[in-house]
Amino acid sequence: MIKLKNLVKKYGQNIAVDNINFNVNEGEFFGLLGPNGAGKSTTINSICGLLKIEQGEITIDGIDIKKNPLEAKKRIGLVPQELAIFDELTASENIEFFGKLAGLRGNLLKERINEALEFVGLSHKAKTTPHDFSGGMKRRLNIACAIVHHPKIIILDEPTVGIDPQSRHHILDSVKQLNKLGSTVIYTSHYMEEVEAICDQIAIIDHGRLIAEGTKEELKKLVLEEEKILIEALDVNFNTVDEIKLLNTIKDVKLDENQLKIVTSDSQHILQDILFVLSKNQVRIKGIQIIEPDLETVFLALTGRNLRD
Amino acid sequence: MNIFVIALSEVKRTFKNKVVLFLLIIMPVMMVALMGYALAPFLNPNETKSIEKFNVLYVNHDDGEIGQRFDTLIKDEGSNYFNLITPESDDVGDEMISNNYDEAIIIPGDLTEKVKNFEEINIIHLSSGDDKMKDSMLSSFVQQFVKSVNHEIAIIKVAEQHQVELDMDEIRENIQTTVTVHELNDTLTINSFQFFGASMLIFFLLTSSMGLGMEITNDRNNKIFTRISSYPVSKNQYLLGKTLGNSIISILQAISVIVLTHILFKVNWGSDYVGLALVVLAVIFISSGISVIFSSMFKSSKTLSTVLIVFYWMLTFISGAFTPIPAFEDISKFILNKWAFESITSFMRGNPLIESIHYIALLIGLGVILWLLGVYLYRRRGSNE
Ligand SMILES: Nc1ncnc2c1ncn2[C@@H]1O[C@H](COP(=O)(O)OP(=O)(O)OP(=O)(O)O)[C@@H](O)[C@H]1O
Ligand SMILES: [Mg+2]
Repeated sequence: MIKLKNLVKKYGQNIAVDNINFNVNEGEFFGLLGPNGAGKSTTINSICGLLKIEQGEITIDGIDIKKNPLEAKKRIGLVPQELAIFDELTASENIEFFGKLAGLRGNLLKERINEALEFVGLSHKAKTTPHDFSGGMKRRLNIACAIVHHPKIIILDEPTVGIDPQSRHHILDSVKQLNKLGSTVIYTSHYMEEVEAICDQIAIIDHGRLIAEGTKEELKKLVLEEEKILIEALDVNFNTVDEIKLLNTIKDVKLDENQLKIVTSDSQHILQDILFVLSKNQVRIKGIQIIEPDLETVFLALTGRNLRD
Repeated sequence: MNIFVIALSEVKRTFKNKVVLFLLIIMPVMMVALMGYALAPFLNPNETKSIEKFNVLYVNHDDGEIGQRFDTLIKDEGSNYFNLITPESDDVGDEMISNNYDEAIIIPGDLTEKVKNFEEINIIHLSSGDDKMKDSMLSSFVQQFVKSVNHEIAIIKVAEQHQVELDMDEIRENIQTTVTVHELNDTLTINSFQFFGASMLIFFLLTSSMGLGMEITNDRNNKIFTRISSYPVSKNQYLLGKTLGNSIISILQAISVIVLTHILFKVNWGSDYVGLALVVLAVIFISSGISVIFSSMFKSSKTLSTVLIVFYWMLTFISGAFTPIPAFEDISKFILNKWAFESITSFMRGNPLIESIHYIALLIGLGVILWLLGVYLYRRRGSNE
């Protein structure tokens, strides 16, 4: 459905997207995961034909976005990262405007407006201007404007930033439903829980580069050996940290205030040794937690950085 | 179709904003009222002065037929306009100054004799130049007489040469009936409400098209433009839609200003509606072109509107549209406000479109140049980045 080949986009000297390749298949729920400034929005805006790209080929449903942008855009519904709605128009007038741009008219348009409002749970606010909306409601309207025309491809750029968990839930459910109804979805986020929970296929990007791609399971396999032990403790000093580092199967140890973060490939067997070292150094332990690999660990393993650093 | 969708949404949003609507329609009318009343004494010659008769020092040194003819004419036709005063001394110029008369007429003693010799005649008209209206009324009166007599002489001369018999009485009658008092000179026939109706219409049309520039920059900053671009809408459609929407608003503004000033202040806009519409559209064309250029140069709509407002104030001020400023008379000829103003006031005076066609051509030409530049800058800018 969507093919990216050797995509490069620069802002002056700054390379925002550095040779990215990936394919999104029809009906897929595709997640694009990466920290701030990774190049997610740039990638997405390139797919939507909004940027002049330096290099690369993008095809949407077999259509080259550079050669035939208007035709390609008919298939896309973009929910931009920033709110892009008119404050002077009511919720339904906002949706109406974008629906018309997508070519809808008459009764079908009316039906679709109501449907979109219902979809994001704003039916009761149809006649209200976004001026009086909460942040979450504005976000929901931002989404409604992009789905009114039933696009084949729905692209959401961090649609849930700054939204309370309940609205977030509602939005994620709605998007999932759209996907079930047949839309191909691209979803960017830097919340890995979100991506992990809803995406079939995930691409992780950092510094404009694609660093891993696959299903959740495939990605985890990449770092299956990685487990994390978190220990809340008082009076840890750096000697202790160094001593733990010397233990077998330990990959990384970090001291973060009163928390020890230990990455290992075998938590079960090494835990005892760690506890021994700690007690020897008279560290008072307040809690222990073992974390199975998640996308955060995948990211950490691949880049050496935390997703939210 | 997208063009109309964008244009209509533009109009709709403007109408929802009551403050903007007020500024667009009520402000110009208020300005016309304010300035129209405040500056009426300086600009309403026909209301304040021309009704009154004015003094003219009058000396007739010619006892002959032609002198008599002028005498009868000025005492008859001119009696509603001029108080003829016989000077006490020989020095008419001196007496004008000492008694504060603005105008004087001296008929040379050889007038009739000159006619008999088939020579061109002249009548001396002295004017202090302080009152242009009196000056022009009297001068047109004198000139018409002189012309008609000279015309007569020329006919007789030609007739003599070709030995044609003439019915002198009929010729005289035909020529003399053309001598009438022109109450007002051409340039003075509009009143202060017409003056400010025209100048404020132009000024507010310029400033209201500023909305186009602000819309473009705002849409860019609010990511609305990016979003619109993600739909099957081309950059050109967007620009055309926005321009059309804004022009509709400006046209509605122009109509309401014209109608309201007509109802409230009896402003006579003339009857050349085609010409008036042409000028209005040309001004909108120009100012939207300027807006497009500026929107490519400035990032924030605040900066853009501030710069443009100052720019338009200066143009309007220099053009003499707030009050005529003699010092700027020469530069004002190069200012678009002036071109539009001259055209509109020409319609007000009842002149046909053809008389101001050069101004309208200038306006449209300028608009074309500005738009070419504007579109070039607009297309060059990668507006999503
Ligand atoms: N308009 C722009 N001009 C210059 N540089 C830009 C512009 N937009 C993005 N960048 C740069 O490109 C890089 C990628 O930005 P991008 O917005 O794609 O990141 P992102 O993954 O979407 O981040 P976030 O999670 O914060 O939205 C960043 O280094 C950013 O500074
Ligand atoms: Mg982003």
